[in-house]
Amino acid sequence: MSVAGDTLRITLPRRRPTFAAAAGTFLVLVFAAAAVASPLLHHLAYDIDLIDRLKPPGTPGHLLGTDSLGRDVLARIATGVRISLVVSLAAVTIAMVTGVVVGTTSGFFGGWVDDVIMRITDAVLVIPIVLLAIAVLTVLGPSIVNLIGVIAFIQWTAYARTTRAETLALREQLYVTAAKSFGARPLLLLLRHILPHLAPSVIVLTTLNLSAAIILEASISFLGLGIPPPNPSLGSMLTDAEQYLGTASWLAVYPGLALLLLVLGVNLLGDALRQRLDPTLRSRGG
Amino acid sequence: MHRLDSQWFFWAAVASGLSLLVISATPAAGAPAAPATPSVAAAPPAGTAVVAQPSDATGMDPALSRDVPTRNILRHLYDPLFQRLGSRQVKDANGPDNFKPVLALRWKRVKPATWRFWLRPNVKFSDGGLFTADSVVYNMDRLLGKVAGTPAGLATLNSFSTLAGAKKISRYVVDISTTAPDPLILGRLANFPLVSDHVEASTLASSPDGTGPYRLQTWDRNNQVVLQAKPAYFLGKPKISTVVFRPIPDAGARNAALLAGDADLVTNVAPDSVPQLKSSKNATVKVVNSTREGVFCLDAINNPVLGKVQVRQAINYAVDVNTIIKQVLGGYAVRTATLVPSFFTGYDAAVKPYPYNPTRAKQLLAQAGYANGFTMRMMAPTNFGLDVPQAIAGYLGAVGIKVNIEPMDFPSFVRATQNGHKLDDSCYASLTNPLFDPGPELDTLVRSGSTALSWYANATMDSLLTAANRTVVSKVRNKILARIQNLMHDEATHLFLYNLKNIYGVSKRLNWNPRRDELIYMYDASLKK
Amino acid sequence: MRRYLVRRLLHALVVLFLLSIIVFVIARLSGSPADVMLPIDAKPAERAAVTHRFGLDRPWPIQYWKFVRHAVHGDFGTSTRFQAPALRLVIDRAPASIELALAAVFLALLIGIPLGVVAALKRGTAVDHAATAVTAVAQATPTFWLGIVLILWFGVSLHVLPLSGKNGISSFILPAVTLCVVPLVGIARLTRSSVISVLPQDYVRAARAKGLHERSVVWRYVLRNALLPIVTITGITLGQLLSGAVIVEQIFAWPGIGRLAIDAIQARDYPVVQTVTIVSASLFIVINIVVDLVYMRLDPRIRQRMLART
Repeated sequence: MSVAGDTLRITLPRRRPTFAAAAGTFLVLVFAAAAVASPLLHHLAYDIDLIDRLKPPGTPGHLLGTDSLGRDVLARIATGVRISLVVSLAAVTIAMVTGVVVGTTSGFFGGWVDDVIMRITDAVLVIPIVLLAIAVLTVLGPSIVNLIGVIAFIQWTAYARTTRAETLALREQLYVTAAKSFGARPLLLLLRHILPHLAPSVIVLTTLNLSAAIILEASISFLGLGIPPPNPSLGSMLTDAEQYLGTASWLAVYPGLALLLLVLGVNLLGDALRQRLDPTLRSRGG
Repeated sequence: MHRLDSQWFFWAAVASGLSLLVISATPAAGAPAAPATPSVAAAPPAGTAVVAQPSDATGMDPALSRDVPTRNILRHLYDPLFQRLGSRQVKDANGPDNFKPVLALRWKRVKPATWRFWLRPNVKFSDGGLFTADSVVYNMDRLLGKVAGTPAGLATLNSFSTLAGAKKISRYVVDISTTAPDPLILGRLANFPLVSDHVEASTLASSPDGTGPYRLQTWDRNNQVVLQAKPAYFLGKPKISTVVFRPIPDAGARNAALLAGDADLVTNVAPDSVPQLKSSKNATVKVVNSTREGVFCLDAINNPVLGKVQVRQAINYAVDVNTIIKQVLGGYAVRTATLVPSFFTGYDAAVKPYPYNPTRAKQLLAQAGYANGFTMRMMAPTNFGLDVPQAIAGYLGAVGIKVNIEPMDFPSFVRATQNGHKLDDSCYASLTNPLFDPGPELDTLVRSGSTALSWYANATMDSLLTAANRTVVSKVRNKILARIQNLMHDEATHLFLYNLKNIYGVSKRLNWNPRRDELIYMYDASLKK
Repeated sequence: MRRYLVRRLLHALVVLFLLSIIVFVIARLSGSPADVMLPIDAKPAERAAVTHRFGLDRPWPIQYWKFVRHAVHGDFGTSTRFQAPALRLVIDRAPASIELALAAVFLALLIGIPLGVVAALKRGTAVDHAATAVTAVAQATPTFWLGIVLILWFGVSLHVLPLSGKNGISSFILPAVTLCVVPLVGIARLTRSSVISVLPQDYVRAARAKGLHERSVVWRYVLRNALLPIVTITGITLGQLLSGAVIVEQIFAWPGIGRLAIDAIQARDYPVVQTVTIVSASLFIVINIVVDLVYMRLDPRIRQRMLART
């Protein structure tokens, strides 16, 4: 990817996809397909059948068995993946928009505005994440909208800080350019000149944040504060499974495995994307 | 170039690892000076029994902490005047013959609203002070807020809202009076352990001081409570010399502790775990019909749909409670026709539960004008479990009633329903009643006005309830209670469910039987050789 | 240096101050401890009495001022649930969390550093790819699922390890293993890339040219210089673990401050919630400052850069 002057041109270097990239793409596609197909499985995932509860995997009609209320585990996993992706994408998008706006404002205008915003982000960053989520969701009550809001709130500061740093660095160059294009308004400068430069790091952050959001949603649902029942969530399916560890272990194994593979797919894909965008850009830990 | 002695860093890491091992090998920090904290690593040593409950004690003052796990622990440290007899089914659960003497030797009603108690002489508290009529007066005064420095609201917290006061008659004789004749006063006193009047009350929360058979050896907060038998107890030294209470919030972990031999008694076993525990080689399962009930409230006051009796009846016909009991609760519950378990005072066997009849339910809905069903919300406090609410929602959905479940934690539920007395159409909760009498519970659930969990208003019901609360003659009272139950059934005031059986996991080395009132009292237990 | 430290500490105080306000407000929005302590049929007058007893019916700014006034003397209020000083409760439970965090970091270093070194030395070979695959899977593993699976294997099936509570060394094993996975991945990756960047350096080649044994080269020259970034990440990880172990503490019934916080939130025990948040945030900040100081001492270029900002 190259940024020449004030235009953005993305040129991806020609390279054979690595095994990791292929695996990541494959996993993500599989889960995306499952998510898209899940509304077809709505009845299997939601209809309670008390006679058929806790059936083991391999029972006819239930590839991965049924849960404590007789609902099909595979259908619930697919629906859970869909809900998880919707929540994570929404949260990350909100975080990105908010963070970029705040960060660029902070970096661009500097001064006391910058200081105040930075102190606030500092304060938010030191709050233990899970505790913050628990506290806020206890107050607001568990719901999908609140969950998206909480995850977005946790993630926006990373965008803000990164974009602020880059904006600060670019600001100097910009004043020179601005002097040349007489009377250009700040907002226009912002949009045309700064935002394109931010794209690479924002994309990198987004790939990292997406898998973090998926895990965060699962963790919060695991604690009972996330996706409310009867909607399935990979996290809350594990909560239900805890009491059946000795008797119905499939309830714990498969949802967790699905979560693992989903996150793995997103991570691998994200890694590959980061390598492509800028091979010298070290992701955290390389 | 990086200039770093990574070597020293590496060795520092190793050193801290080793010191970590040393730290964790020493007994838990924070334990007050005690000769040896019994290590609960593998099987408890002989003479020690370990009980695993879902939560830790919240304090050592029995008047301040009324949750079940704390109550169980404190019963070992403090005594009440008398104790309810085991699980015998009796007609009048709060009559004078239902209790065995502990700190009081005999008791008699001397006036309609006053009982006299003759106390056991020469009993000492842990601090060495004597237990006398003054002690009883002090404890009652504490409840009424007459003792300086005592928090307010203790009377309600301990179910003594009818208490008027206590009066010393002589050294070992005391009178206790209520504001009006109260048929349940003895049951209330049986649940109320007495504290020493010789020490400052504010110290009790961390340093208990009672007459009970055990004393507190250590309280390692949220890890364990260790109780040691006193050398002399007026009813005889306990057969188990050390009792350890461990808080394990997770049900699966509790079961695992039992199976591994780390615990001798675990509470709140889920029905689905029973086969696994029964088939293990060192544990078994004990079940008791407890006083805990599943309650499904309906807002008949603010929701015009639920205000119609046919709709409420339809809801009762629509849900197959027997299948829920069999499948979701593993059979560990007993269907109740109204809200009164069969072993409670005044139970009327003539009232029959609503049969499962979804066709009839749809007919009734059509009669009421809701042939296409309607939508309603359900508040589901998560601590009562979400399986039953979801099952109920499933059945209601099948007759056209769409239910939106609102899970929330218990304090949020209390806040929503108490401040402003609002209910989001319906809720599922489970309530326990240690008095074995429907009176107080029905007051809470079907009396009109801004009472705790009642969204039902009926003047006839109110006057029946008041009469029941004031009548002390059992036969008359039972007739009133029967009328109340019939009215509840016909009016379908709630979706009637069941009362639960409590399941305990018990190690084979422990001789112990569960009590109906959920009290765990290891004084009555012993260890096999 | 002194000015730098003062600036950092002042910064930390401001952050803690802001944090305390955030926590204060959120806590009070969630209800009253009276909701938890009283039976459900308590009358409104009684609820009001209990709320008054805890001083929670006064206006929020007054409550906050009172809190701050007492806090600077070390009195963070009394737990509504346990009737004991909140700070005392937190300090009693902190060692359990700290020990668990240390155990997890120790395991992460013990396994992660060799893993990273081997992967770097054998870069491009099957060993490296295997290590990369293992770390990718480990990174994707949800912590709470790992904990449950470990309980399933070691508790239900094998019965060899304690599954809950803190009783002796063996009870550390499962929670520490569960907790170490996330930092392990970061450490392994960082070690690998760090070693890779050090290997082509001149002094390494010089050592090899001298005829030194390969193992000696690695130990004395490569590792010495590659491990600097590990210092930073260890510190940061420690800080994260202290607060991130909440779910693990819940699953394994570990008596640490994470569980204390969850219980306190569920019981609306404000003093404890506030105290836990402030204490763990402070620990986090202190660890960050210490890490930066160590980093600066070890690398003069960083020191210059950081001090120049003052």
